[in-house]
Amino acid sequence: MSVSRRATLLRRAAVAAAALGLIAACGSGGGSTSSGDGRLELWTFLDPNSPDDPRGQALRTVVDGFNESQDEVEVTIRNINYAKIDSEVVRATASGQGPDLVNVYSAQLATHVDAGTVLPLDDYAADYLAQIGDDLIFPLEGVRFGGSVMSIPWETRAWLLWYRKDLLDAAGLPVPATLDELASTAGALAASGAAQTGLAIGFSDQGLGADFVEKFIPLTWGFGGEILDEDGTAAFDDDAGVQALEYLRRLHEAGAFGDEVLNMAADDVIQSVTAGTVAMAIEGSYRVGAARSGEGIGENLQTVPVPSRTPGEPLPTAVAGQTMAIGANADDPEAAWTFIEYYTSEESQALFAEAGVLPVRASVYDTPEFDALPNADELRSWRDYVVDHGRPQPVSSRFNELSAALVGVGQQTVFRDEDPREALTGVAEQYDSAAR
Amino acid sequence: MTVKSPEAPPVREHRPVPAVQARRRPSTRPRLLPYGLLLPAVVVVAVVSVFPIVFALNLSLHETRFTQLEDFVGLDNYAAILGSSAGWASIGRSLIYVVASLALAIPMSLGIAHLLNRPARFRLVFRALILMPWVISQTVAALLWRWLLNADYGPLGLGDVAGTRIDVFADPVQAMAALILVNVWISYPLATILCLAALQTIPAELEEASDVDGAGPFTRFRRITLPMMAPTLFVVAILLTLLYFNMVTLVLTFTAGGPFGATQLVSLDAFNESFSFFNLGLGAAYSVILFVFNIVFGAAYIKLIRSEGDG
Repeated sequence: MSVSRRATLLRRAAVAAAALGLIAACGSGGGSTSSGDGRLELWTFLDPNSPDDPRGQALRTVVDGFNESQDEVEVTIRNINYAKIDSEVVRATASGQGPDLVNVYSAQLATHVDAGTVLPLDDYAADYLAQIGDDLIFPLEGVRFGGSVMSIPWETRAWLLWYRKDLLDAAGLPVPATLDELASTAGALAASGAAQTGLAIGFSDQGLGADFVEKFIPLTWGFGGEILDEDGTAAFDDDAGVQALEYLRRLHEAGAFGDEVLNMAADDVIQSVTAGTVAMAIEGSYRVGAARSGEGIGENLQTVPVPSRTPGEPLPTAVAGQTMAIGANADDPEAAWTFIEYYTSEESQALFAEAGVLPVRASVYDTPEFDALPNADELRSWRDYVVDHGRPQPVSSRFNELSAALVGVGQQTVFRDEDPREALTGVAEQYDSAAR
Repeated sequence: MTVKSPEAPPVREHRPVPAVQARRRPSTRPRLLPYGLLLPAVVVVAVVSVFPIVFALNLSLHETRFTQLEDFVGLDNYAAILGSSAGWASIGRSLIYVVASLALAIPMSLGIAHLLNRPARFRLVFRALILMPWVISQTVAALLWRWLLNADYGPLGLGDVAGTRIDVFADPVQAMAALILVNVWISYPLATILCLAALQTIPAELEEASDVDGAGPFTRFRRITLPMMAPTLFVVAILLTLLYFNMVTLVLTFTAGGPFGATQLVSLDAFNESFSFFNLGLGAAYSVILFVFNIVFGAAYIKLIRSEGDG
């Protein structure tokens, strides 16, 4: 090989190495996903292009409205599957590539706070919160950590008893008014063949057992217990937690549901309700609109507050919802806050209400636009349930782990007759030990 | 006659070394050039392969808080897994899953490759059809089979099989069996194609000679086909073993580890601990255990290949 050829090769190798270094440097660069030119990236589970989810279309309208109102700031949307968004935000933020704005479900906010993916809003939100005051029906304790508000709720939800009116009517059964009646009615519906499953509760491991835990929490409250103590230690392994599991076992024994629910997560339950194979379920208010849009469903799907042991006294409902936060990597937090103010304004709330979202601001329920909604009265009844019987959903940065463990306990105690107290105690000890 | 004294050998003239050569000789450039040329490849391999392994090993020896490395805890994360019945149960289920899948996938692929190797009409069409499961993503395959096997609305009608309801996802044994079958369904095309390629390299003369010698199909398969395909089969076994041990998406979407934890595999534990519960240290320990299994199985196959070769 000639000297000149070798020199050329060496030069090329040096250029390649330099290019590699440059690529590596670019990859490890700091800053958020925004380019610093007034663009803010919003990461959300909502798909603005979804033809099926009216919330996505409302999001698009709100973001477009904000962008039109701004000269120097533009919000772009990045849609991420709801099962992945939290871990993606944690990983991206750790590498300096996190979003400017992030939609966080209130039950996951503790995880984000612990991971340092969101900024405290004290510097921005104090005036705003003082201004709206009692207008916010979402309990602020659910988004306050260490004395700081970490995100602003824009949606609230309650868990309601869904029932197929047509199926209950066909079976000649009334809407249950107590937990005992719920068991007997669900058993009767299944026995009569009106539906395959009288009352569906998802016991699947899919979604880390979220559907099961969403029922276990209010039932435990209803029997006088707590999920977590004020210091964050497990409290669900007391008599109330045991009674909640025993009640679920009683539902199984009454024929309210069979082994088929072991394969059901929330989505499966809702699909089965719309298909008419499930007559009743306890699901979120935020899914009612989409479920009713199914063919032949419409007003056959009705909701009432979940009954308790006492007639006329509903079971407490967990209050949770979607919130908007400023990402820890945000280049321009002030601009991000301007968007959050716009996103949670009365006008935007009214747009989301049209999409079946329960607004977090009380004043929205009294506007003429709200009155014009076809289900305004129903939405108001849900609001009343939230205000009168709502409790912030327990929050913990280890909630996913707890949820996955609790559904395992549910499966073992309801379907395999394992001792509920022993199973709950095991999970509680594991949870407390891991938290320490 | 005069005798001449022999001439002294000519003394070689020591010419001064040109200045250019004097400078070149001590230069290390020619000796370093090969290393320089190799460097980019070494860097890429180190970044892509070695760094993640070392990183995972390091993670597994530390306590972690989300993505932050905290205290060094030695082998505590491994002790948490290997010192618990749940950890060993996951390992046992992973072994069942991998071994059962291999036991089904390899013979099945070999059989299908044999059929595809025979002259037949529409052979190309069959080959394309056989490949189809391979091009389907694991998520889609899992959702497809969840729908097919659903006892309530699945088209296979498992809700009423001669008056019996077969709820695959409610029974631990059936759920694991279904998971293995779906796993085989999405992975057999790869093995089939490799087996088919190996079959086509077997000289026709050998088979003709065995015919002349009166060997039946079974003897021919045992004495000619199988020995000649052995290296390919071992490669297939290695590839599938790696694929099966590391499988997450299919398991997560198909059963998510249930019911009753019956399909909770080590790969799923690694995923959940790392990305659902953010216990990266523990998740990394699960990954390293998987890595060790892959190494052990791979080494065993390679040893078998060598012993076959020696034999």
